[in-house]
Amino acid sequence: MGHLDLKRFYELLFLLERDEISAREFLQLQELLIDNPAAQDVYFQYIDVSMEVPSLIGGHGESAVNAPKLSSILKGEVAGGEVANRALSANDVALSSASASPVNSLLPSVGRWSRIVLAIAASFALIVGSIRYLRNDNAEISFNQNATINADESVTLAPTMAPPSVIVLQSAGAMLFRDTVPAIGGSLAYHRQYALSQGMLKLRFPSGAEVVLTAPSVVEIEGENNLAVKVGSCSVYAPPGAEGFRVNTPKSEVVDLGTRFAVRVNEAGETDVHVVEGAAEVREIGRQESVVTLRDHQSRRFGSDGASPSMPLEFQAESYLSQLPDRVVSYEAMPAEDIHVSQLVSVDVQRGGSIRTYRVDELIGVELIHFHAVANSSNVVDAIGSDLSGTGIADRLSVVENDSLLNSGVINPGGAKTALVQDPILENGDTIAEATAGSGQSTPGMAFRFRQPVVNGPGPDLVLFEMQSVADPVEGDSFHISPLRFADGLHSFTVRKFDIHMLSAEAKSLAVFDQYRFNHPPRSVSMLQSNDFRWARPPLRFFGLAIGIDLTELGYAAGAKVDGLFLQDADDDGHQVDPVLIAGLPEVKE
Amino acid sequence: MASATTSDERYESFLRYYSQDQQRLFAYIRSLVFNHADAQDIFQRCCLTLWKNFEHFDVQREFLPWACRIAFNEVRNFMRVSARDRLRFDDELLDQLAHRREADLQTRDSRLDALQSCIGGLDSADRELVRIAYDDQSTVAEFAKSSGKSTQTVYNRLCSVRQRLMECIQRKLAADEGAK
Repeated sequence: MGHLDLKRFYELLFLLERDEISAREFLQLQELLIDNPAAQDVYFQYIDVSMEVPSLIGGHGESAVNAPKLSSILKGEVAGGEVANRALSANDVALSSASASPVNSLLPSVGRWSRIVLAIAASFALIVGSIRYLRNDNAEISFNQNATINADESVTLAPTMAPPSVIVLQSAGAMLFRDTVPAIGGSLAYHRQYALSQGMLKLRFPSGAEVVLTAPSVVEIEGENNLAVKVGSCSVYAPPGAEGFRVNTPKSEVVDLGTRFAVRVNEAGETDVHVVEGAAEVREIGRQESVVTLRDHQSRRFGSDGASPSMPLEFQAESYLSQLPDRVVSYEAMPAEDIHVSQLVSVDVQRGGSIRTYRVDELIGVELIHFHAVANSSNVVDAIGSDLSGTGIADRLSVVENDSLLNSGVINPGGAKTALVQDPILENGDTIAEATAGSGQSTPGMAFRFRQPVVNGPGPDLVLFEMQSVADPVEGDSFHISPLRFADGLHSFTVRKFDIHMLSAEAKSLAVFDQYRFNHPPRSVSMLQSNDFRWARPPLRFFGLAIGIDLTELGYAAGAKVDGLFLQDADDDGHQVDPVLIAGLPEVKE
Repeated sequence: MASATTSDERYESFLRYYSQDQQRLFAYIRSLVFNHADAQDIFQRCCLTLWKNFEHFDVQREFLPWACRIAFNEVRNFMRVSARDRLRFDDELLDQLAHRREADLQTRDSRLDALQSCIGGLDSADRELVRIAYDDQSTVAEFAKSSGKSTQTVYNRLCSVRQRLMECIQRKLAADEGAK
């Protein structure tokens, strides 16, 4: 199914769902579905989403517990009988049976039938009741556990407003085990256990309290002003109005008295509390008599076995984190194909603790000065409809040098398991014959020169976007970044995880593109420009990942001007980095 | 007593099967009959037919395939007697969908888990839009008016959110698959 068909397919499904499809459009839909298992699978998924989204999001949709109305079905068959009005209780669900009317002949007895009515109704109730609690969804409307279900009526559920949400303020490389990290501004559910396996999250509670969670942590939001930390670390800032914020750990309860404090819980449940500012009250579970109040720059360990209710602990101010690390926070890009993006518009980068937005025209472009692929000969991708897919190949380098498209670039450079410790040998060190024969000494990888020097400022100084499919590593492809010329204090730096990775809500789906596979892996820029290729359109959907690179990580001093860098894949797996856009950030001027 | 006990066991057995598979069964019918009201009607008929025939059900076999076959017959019966001006899949496609959907239902729970996670990834504006759209169609127009957008624009955005959810599910399932 080509991408245009898929787009149309979704449109037709949407029309079908809204009962607005014309006969002609319906025929189109049939044509797409017939003899097409892939389209049929998408159709089934669409149906499932239609059925389940309403109940998951808090509306009143057609999820089976709402739609089938089995008690109404039975009513038609029961049509009365001697069923006495009575009420049963099952897990807080009150049931009342149908009123008297004749019994359908197929039923063995009224008593049995009423029992089946009640039992099925009870099963509904249990299902309804359990859906919200077992699935632990994030709905904004919850259902009253005391819902009343009449055997001769459809299920009646009394909606009650759920408490305000706990919002995700920021996310830095966060990954939740078997769960999706909400987008910034999205919410986390109450009474649901979250295992933060990587990265950090900053949350805001309805009370105004802000919490920075650090992986690995397992937490549960127990209330509007209450967090349970089973294991892991969190930093709490409770501004005026949020006093009383409580952190429950397996062995203690930390109650804020207007403060900034950090809590760290180890696997034994021992809880370290460091109060940076203000005061916090700590009570050990099982030792009600022992309440300890910690104040500025005080810390103690609670929950250790022993006679003493708590143990002294060296205060560590760095235990408290007020903000997430500098990084690429998010980016904006123009849709090129429905929701699938291509043209970068801007990028938000936290530098020195401040989030700054850079328009694409403010970014510092690069010039490719060296390219040496090794095994993978698919080295250029380009947005559909450009010159590259036609006959006039004016300048293949334009895909990396002149455009700001996220689905266009020079990809799969060569790599090395070990990062460079000395100057790379650029391709101009080889003769053309050597480069062509592959016998030259040039270093696998790619080198680029900034169109103007990039100044090492606070936080990231350049951004790199990679395209990645679901078949590739979720954290992004590891790569080494090195100085073009090594000097005292300079060294390589290896990136093993992107700021915006495959599981980030900020990773955007990219518009389709063409991929160019060369007859031989190009070992120079000129070969990249002139070698023959075949092209193909990848069947998988790709996403735009992003990483901010701080020149300090390569040993550059603050204020140092850098004119270019060398990039190599880390050669740690079968996947190679696909840097579709590399750009320097403007100098930070306070 | 023995007979009564056997009957009781049969009820309990039916309830157990029914509770376990009712959502999947409705999803099966819903994929063959896209009109929600029609699907409800068929589901109701199907439930009764299942109960009437439950004594013939071989407990050594799986309940859902048996229930799907009965549901498919109900769908065919419904189509035979319902108005001719109604849009419906032709027989060949109906057979294909019925066959494939039965197998597809085995993985439905995984998809729903993924969907739940993906909904959590929607920003609050998109969640609200989806909630309004499914809660009451007429409020989409009100929503559009209050937000200064055309109804079509809001529908387009809704369509886009739907597509994103679909892709998110596929991505999550692929990631889960890759993690195995």
